[in-house]
Amino acid sequence: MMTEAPQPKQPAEQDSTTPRPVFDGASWFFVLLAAVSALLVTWIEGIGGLARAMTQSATLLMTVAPMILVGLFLGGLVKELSDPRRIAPVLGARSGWKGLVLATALGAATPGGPFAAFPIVYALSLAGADMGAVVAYLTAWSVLGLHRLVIWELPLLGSDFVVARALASLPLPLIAGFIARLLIRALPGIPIGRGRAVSGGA
Amino acid sequence: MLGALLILLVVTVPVAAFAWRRDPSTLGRAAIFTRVEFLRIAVRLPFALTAAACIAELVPERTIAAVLGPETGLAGIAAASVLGGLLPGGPIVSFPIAILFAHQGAGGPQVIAMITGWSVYAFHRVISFESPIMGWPFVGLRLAASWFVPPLAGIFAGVLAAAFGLAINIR
Repeated sequence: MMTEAPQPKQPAEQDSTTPRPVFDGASWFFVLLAAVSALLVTWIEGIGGLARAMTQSATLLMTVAPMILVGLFLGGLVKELSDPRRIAPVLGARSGWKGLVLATALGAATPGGPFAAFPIVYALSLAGADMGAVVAYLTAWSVLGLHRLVIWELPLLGSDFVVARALASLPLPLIAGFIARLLIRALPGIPIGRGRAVSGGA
Repeated sequence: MLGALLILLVVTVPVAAFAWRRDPSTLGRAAIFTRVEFLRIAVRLPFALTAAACIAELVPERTIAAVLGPETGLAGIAAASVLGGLLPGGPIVSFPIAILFAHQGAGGPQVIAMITGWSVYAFHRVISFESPIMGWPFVGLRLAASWFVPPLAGIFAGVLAAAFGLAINIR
């Protein structure tokens, strides 16, 4: 067991079950952004411009809302089924390309926003996954994110676009993870996650 | 749109069946997660989409074509990567902006670099999640290992589209 500095607040526990207000600061940010941009559109392009924008946003809303609902349920299932403490040992520093491929696949399959992903990332790094795998996981989650591909891009940009983007992005998390491993080897002892040593575990 | 919803359902139903067989209470917990997250998104989504549509309306199509059009090549891909990293907020405002830009004349590789720049550089996410949870050294390591990803995604996608005749320029 490695020793850990006592932490006042364990970020790994900040997942979606912790009550956060539904209407928080970020929501106000969007309200403000919408109000200011709507005013600007009306001022510069008149009511016609605003009407075009509103029609567009209503169409987008009706397109994505049902898919977000199903996508979130899938996300909830994946979150319940995957246990970072069981996965991390497979992603250790000596896991080679297999570990990077697995981390990439897991990242692509992890749905949900940063609220869902970062606690997993933190738990993975605490449980002994190496930083290369963590970087591959995070890059795959953000770049490949299958749920975003299906919810946003497939209906609004078409299947050719989705295929080209997915294929082009597929090898990139692996390369990023590999480079992260090289960097860690070149600069050992980078503190990760509030003062922890990097290459623990394994 | 129906096709995309169908794909999601085709994936979700077997996963749900598997979860049910392993432990039926998993479905309930997943449903609670869904309700909490959906409520949060439902509150923001209409405003985020309105903002995205208005921003896309405000940027003249000529500007979009000049900076991010298919003919802008590598310079456009580089600009799109950086621009993507600066987009505010989560996918619910950034994706619509990228998608509306695509419909107003941005090139396919440029849009792909923009979406990827948003997801990899993610300035908003670094500030609000990554640096508080993982610390700045990790942020530095991750960016040092992945800064090339957005432009490369755009370039690869352009090459693939040319090789296989994929229509990635939306307009």
